[in-house]
Amino acid sequence: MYWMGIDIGSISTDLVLLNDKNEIEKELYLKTGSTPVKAVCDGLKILGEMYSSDEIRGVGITGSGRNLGAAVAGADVVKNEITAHARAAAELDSEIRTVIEIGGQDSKIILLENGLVTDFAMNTVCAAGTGSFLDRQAGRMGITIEELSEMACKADGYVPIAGRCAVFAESDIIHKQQAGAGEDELMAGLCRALAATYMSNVAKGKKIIPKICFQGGVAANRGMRIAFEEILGYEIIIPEHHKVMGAVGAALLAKDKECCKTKFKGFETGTLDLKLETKGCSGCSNSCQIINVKRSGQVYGCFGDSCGRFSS
Amino acid sequence: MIVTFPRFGYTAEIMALFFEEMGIQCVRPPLNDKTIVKTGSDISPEEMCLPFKYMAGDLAEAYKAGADTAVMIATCGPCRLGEYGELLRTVLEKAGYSYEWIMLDSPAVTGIKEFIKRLDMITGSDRVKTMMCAVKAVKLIRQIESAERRLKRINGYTVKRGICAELLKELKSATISWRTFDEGFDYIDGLNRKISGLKTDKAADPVRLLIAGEIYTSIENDSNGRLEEKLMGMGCSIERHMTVSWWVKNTLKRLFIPQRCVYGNRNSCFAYEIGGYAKDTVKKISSCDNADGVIKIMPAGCMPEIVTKAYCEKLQKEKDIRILNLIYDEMSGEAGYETRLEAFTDMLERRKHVLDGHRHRFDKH
Repeated sequence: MYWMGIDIGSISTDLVLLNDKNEIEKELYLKTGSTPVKAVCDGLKILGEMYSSDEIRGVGITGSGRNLGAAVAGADVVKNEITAHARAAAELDSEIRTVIEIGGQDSKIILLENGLVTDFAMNTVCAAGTGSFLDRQAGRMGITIEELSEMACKADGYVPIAGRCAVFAESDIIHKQQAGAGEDELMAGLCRALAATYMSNVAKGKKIIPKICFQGGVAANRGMRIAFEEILGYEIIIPEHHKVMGAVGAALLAKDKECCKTKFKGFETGTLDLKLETKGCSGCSNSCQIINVKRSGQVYGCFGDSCGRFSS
Repeated sequence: MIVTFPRFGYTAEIMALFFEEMGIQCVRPPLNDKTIVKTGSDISPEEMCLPFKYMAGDLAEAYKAGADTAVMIATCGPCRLGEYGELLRTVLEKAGYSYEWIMLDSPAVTGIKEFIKRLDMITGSDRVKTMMCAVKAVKLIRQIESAERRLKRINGYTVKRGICAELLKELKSATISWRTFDEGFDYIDGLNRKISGLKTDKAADPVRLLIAGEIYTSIENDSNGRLEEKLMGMGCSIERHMTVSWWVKNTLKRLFIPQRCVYGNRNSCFAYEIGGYAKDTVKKISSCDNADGVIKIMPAGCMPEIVTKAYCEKLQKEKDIRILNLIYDEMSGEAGYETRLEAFTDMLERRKHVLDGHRHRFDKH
C-alpha cells in the first residue's frame, strides 16, 4: 500500500509514493512549465505504468497549484506548503528547529519545536529572496543553474553584490564584471546575496536555532549551503530528498488523516485529455472565477468557488 | 440636495435609512468591489492608504449616480494630520467630482456648536427628529453588530457546519433591502431567535481567533479580501475588535473622558497618541486570553499600525501570543493570503490538539 504526495509549484511538479514505513518508494521531479495540468497528468502516467490505482491508500496535494491538482487527480488532503514542509521536516528528524525552504518563486522560514510549528514567515511582495533570482542571473550569464553551483563552490571568497532588488543586483553584477571580478567569486557573491536577502526579508526578527534543515529546489545548490552556513554560523542539514519534501509532507498528511476510502481518481487520469475553462459566477457579490477541468466537454473537476457550491 | 457618504461596514445602509426617515434624498454608493477600488486608485495619489482609495471610489461612483452633497464623518485624528476629509475633498475635486461637502468632524475637535451647525446643514432645523433618528440608527447598528458577533463566535461550535456564514450572508443582503428602521429591528429580532435556536456542540474545540488592527480594513470586508468569510469557512470561531458600534462608543467617550483614564497609565505602551487606534489595538492584543491566535491586519503604508506591529513583535515574545500580520493593498493576489491563513490556522489547530494529547487528529477538510 502506498500514499501519494503531489507538490505543484511554480517551477516543478513533484510526485512521491510513500510506503507503510514512511520511506520514499518512488519520486518524480517534473518541470511544471506553463501547463500544470499536463505536468500532473504526465506524473500520473509515469507512475501508472509502474503501479496500479488500487495500491494507493490516500493522496495529499500541496503547492500553489494544490486546488488545481485536487480537481484533476482527486485528493484526500489539500494543504498549504508551510504545513506540508513542516510535516516532512518533523518526520525526518524531530530535533529540527528551523526549516529554510527556498523554492522557485517563494521562500519560507518555519520554526518548529518538538515537531510542532511555532512560527512561520513567507516572502511578501518581492521575489529577490527566491530561486528565480539565481535562475535569472544564471540565464543572463549563459550558464545553467548547476554550473552556477559548481562555480560558487570553487570560489575563494566572494564579491559582495547588492541583492535587495533582483534588477539592481543585475546592474551591480555588470558593474563588478567591468571592474574585473572573477566569475567564480561573482557566483559565490550571488549565493551570498540571496542568503542575505532571505535573512533580511523572510527570516527578519525570527530566532534561528539549530538543527537547521534546508529544503526546496534551491537546496540543490551547494553554493547556497555554504553561504547560509557562513552567515548563520551553524551546520545546515540538507535532506536527501530535499527537492520533493513538500510532496513527502503532503503524503504524510494524507496518511495522518487515516481516511477509509481515498478520493483518488486513479492513474488513468494521466492518459486523459483535460482542458481548463474559466467562467464567472454571479451567485453573490464575491464574483468568484470558477475553473472547470473538462474532459471532452464533461466537467471532470472544479475549483475556485469560495462557497463550495460547485466543487463539493 | 442629494446626499451620499463613503461606505463603512453597515453604516452605509443605516445612514441611508436615517436620511430616508428624515425625508432627505440620498444615494448609496455601490457595494465595494474591485471596480470601486480601481476608480479610487485612479484618482488618488499612489502612496495613499487603501481605505482612502475605497472612499474616493465610493464617492466618485455615487457622484455618477446623481449625488451632489458628500457627508464625511471623520474624527480629525492624527491620520493625515487631521486633514483626511479635506484631502478626500481635494482629490475628488481635482478629478472633477465637485461635491458640496459637509464634514462631520468629531465635536471634540470642532466644538459642539460648530458640529450642530454642520448637522443642521444636512437635516434642517428639526433637531428633535434628528436626535431620535440618530439614536435609532445607533441602536440598530449595535443590534446588527451584536448579532454578527454572536454568529462569528459560535461558528465552529454549531452542529450544522457553515450555518453561521449562511445567516451572516443573509443578514448582509437583508440590510440592503430594508426601507425603514422598524423593518431592521424586526429582522434582527428574528435573527436573534434563529441564533438562539442553533444547535451547538459544547465539546467542539475550534480554533479561536482575534482579528485586530486598522479599523477600516477590519470593518470593510472587501478591503481585507473577505478574511472573515475565509476563516469561517475554515471552521474558526472569530472575534473582531473593531466595529462601528465600538467606534461610536469610543468617539463619544473621548468627548467626555480624559484620555489617560481610557488608557490607564499613559506610559504603559505608547507615551503619545500616534493616530488610528494604535493604542486600542495594543491594549486589546495584550489582554486577549481567550483566543488561540491573533490576526493583525492593516493597509499598506498605515503608519499607526506599523508602529503597533513593532510593538506586537515584543508582545509575541513576552506573552507567547501567536500573531499573524497581514498587509493589504489594492494590488494584492489572493493566493499568498490564503496560504498564510491556512498555515496559521493549521499551526494553531495542530498545537491545540497535540498539546491535548491527540497526536494525529486533523480537521475534516
